[in-house]
Amino acid sequence: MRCLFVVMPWHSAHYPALSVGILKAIAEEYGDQVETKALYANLRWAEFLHEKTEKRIDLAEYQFLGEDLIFKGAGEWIFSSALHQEDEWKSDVYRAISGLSEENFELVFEAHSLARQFINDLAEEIASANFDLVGLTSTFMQNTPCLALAKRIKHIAPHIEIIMGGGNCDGKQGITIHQSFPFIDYVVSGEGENAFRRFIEYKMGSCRIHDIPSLVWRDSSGVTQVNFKSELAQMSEVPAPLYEEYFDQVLSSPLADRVELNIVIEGARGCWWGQKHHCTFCGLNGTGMAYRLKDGDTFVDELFDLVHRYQTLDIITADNIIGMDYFRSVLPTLKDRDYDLRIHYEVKANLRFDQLQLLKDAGVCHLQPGIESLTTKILKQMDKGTTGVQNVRVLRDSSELGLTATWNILVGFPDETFQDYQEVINQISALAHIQPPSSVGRIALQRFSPYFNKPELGFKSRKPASFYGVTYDLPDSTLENMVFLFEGEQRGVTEAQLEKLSALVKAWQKAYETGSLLTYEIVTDGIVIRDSRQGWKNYCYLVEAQLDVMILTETRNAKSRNALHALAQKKLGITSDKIVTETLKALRAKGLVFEEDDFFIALPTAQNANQIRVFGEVSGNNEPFQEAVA
Amino acid sequence: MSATTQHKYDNHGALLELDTCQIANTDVKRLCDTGIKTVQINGKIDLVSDGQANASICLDFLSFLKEATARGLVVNWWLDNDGSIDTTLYTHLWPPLLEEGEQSISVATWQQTYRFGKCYWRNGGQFIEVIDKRDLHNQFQHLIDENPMLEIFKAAHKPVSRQGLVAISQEALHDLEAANLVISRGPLCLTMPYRVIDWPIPYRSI
Repeated sequence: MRCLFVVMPWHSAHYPALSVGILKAIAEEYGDQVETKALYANLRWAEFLHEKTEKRIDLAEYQFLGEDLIFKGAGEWIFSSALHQEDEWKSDVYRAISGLSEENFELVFEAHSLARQFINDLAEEIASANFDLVGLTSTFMQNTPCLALAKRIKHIAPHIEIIMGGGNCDGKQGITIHQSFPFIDYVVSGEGENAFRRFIEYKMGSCRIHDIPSLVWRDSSGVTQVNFKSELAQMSEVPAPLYEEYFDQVLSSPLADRVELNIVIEGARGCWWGQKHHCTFCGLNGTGMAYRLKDGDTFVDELFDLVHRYQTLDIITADNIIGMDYFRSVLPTLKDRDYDLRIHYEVKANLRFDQLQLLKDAGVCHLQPGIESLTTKILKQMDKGTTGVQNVRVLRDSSELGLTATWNILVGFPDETFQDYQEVINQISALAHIQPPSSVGRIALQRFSPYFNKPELGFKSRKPASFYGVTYDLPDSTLENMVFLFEGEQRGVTEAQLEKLSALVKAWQKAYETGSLLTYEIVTDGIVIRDSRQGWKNYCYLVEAQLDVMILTETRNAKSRNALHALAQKKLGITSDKIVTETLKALRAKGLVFEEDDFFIALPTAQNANQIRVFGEVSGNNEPFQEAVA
Repeated sequence: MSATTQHKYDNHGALLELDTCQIANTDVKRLCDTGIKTVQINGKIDLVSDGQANASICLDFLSFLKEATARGLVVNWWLDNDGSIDTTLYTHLWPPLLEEGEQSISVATWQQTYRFGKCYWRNGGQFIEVIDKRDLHNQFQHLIDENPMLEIFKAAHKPVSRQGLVAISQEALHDLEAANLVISRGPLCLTMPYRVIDWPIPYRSI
C-alpha cells in the first residue's frame, strides 16, 4: 500500500504535524508492506501565496490568516472557493458577517481568489503520483482545505481512497463529515493509532473492516457505517514521530529563512485537571479527556533522539498540561544533560517557585499557564481550581525566572459583571513589572465544553459560528453536528466594557515593555525595595518595620487577611487586627502587595534575578541599550 | 506603618568596581548570584593591539564581557585605541561608554547597534548551533557538528593558545576566523559568540 499523508493549511509553518509523524512511525512497524510519504501542503500554500501575491502575503501573513483569524473563520472561508470550485464564494456575505477590517478582508479575499488554483494544481500532482491512499488530518481551520483537496483528487482519480482524521473528526463531527461529503471514503472519528494499525491490516487482508475501531465507512450500498469507538490509546502504544519530510521541505523552501524550526513531541494526552474539574469553556480535549502520560525515560530518550536526528533545539510539547510525575523524572534528567533547549510547555497555574525553577533549569523557556483571569469569582465560574493571587504568583515568579508566560484574559461568563474586575483594575498599575496578558477576549463556545454540553450553565441558545454557514453549502442542522465553534448569547461584560479592559491591558503591556521593575533584597535591617515601574515614583528605599517585613516575607505565597492577623500575633505579638489591616493597606498603596478576594501576595521580584527583556526585532534599529536588565 | 529610608540603599551591593588585572579571575556567575547588577572596569580596554601583554588583557576582558552580556550584567567600561576597530565584530557585547566630552563614531555605532542575543551559541550535545545577527544584512545560523571544528569552537570558549588550535586543525581554525566566530590577538584566540544562559522575555525574540 502506498499512502500519502497531506498536511493542509493552516497548520503552522513553524513545526511539523505530530499526528502525521506518529502515523508514519506506525506505518514503519509494517516494514515494506506500507510505503508512506508526508506532504506539507501548508508550506506549499505559504510559498504559493508568497509567489502569486508578489510577497504581499508572506509567511507572517500566512500565520496571521491561519491563527489570528481563527474566530473569524478566515482559514475555512478562504478555501470555500476551492471546495465549491467557484472563483468567488459568497464573498459579500462573508465580508458582512466576519467583522473584518477592510485591510484584513482584502488579505483574506486575495487568498480566497487563489485557493482554487492551488488546490487544483495540488490535486493533479497527487493524482499523478500513484498513491493508493491519501490521508488528511484536520484540526481547527483545516477542514475546508482538506475537503477541497479530497473532492478534487476524487474528481481526477476516483480510484484513490481518501481517509480523514484529526480533532475535527472527533465523535459526531466525523460521522457528519462522512455523510455530507461522499468523496471522503473513510473517517477516523477517534484517536488514530490503533485505527490506523487495524486499517493497514485490513488492507493486508488480516483484519475485517468491522474490526477497525472508530472507523466510519460505506457499505456496498453506499450507506455510512460507524464502527465501535476506539479505546483511548495508551501512551506506550504511541511511537516517537518521524519528521523527515517536514525538515526536508522547509530547508528547500524559499521561505526557509523565516521559518522558526521546532520539534513537536508529546508526553501526555488528555487533562488530569479536566478529568476532575472540566474547565467550563474548554473543549480542546474532545472525547479524549482521560489523562495518559508517557513513561518519563521513554519521553527523554525520544526527545534527545529527535534533537539529534533533526539538529533542532526548539521543542514544543503538545501536552495540554504537564504531568506532575515529570517533575521527578523528566525535568531533572533534562537539567543534568546541559543542552541549551528551548521548550514550550502548558502547565497548571498553581506551580510553586521551585517547580518553575526546575522547569527553567530543564530548558523550558515558554509557559502557557492557563491563567485566564486574575479574579477569583470568575475563576470559580470556570472551575479552574486557581485563585487570582495564585495566578499573580505564577506571573511574578515566571517573570523573575525569565520564563516567558503567555496568557489571555477571558471574559463573557454567565454571571460576570464589570464590577468583578474593579479590584484588579484598581491595582493594575502595580503589576507593571510582571508579564501582561496578550489580549482580553470573549470566550468562544466550543463543542465538548461544559458550556456546550450543559446549556443550563448559561448558554441556552446557540448556533454554529456564522462563518460556517457562508463556507459550507449545508443546512444548520448538519453544521450543528459537524463544527467546533458556536455562537451563544452574549453574556457578562458589554462590548464597551470589554474595550475598556482591552485599553487597560494595552497600557499594562506598554508599561512592562518599557522596562518596569520592582525588586526586593533582604538585608540585615529589613528589605530594600527598588521600584522603577512606569507610573510609580522611581526610587530605592528600605522597609524596616517588623510587621511590614513579615508581611512581605510571608506573602511570597498568598496569605489570607486572617492568616496574616494570626501570624502577626504569633510572630510579633501584635494583637490589633486594625494595625495589620492598616499596614496591608499601606503596602497595597505602595504597590508592594496585590490584594484579591481578601488574599494578599507580595509583588516584588528578587534583586539577584536576571530579567532580560527584548522587545522589537533584533535588527538594531538604533535604540541603544534597548532591553531592560535587572 | 511602613518605615522607609530614602536612598540609603541606592546601589547597595549592586555595583562592583574591577581593575583590568582582576578580570581574568572574576566569576561572573557568582557576581550575579550575589545581586551585582553593574560592574565598572577601571582602566581603558584596547581591543585592537596585537602585543602579547595587551592580547591577554583584551581576550580576558572579551571573555568576561561575553559572559556578563549573556547573564544580563551591565558593564561600564571605556575603549582605548578605538580608531581602527571594526565594531561589527563586537556589537553583540555590552558596549563601551564615552567619557564626558569624548566623541567616537565607533563607540556611538556600537551603542546604537547593540542588542541582546545578536550572536550566541547553543549546546546540542553532538552539535552546536550558532546564531549570528551582528551584520544586519548578512545574518547566519551555523551548525557545527563535526570535528575538528567542533573541538576548536569548544576549546576557544575561553582564551587559548592559537598554536594549540592550529595543532588541532589549521583549516578549521581558518574557517572559524573567516566567519568571525573566532578572533586572534597575539598568540591567543577566543570564540566571539557567548553561550546562551538566560533566555530573554519574550523567549523567541533572539
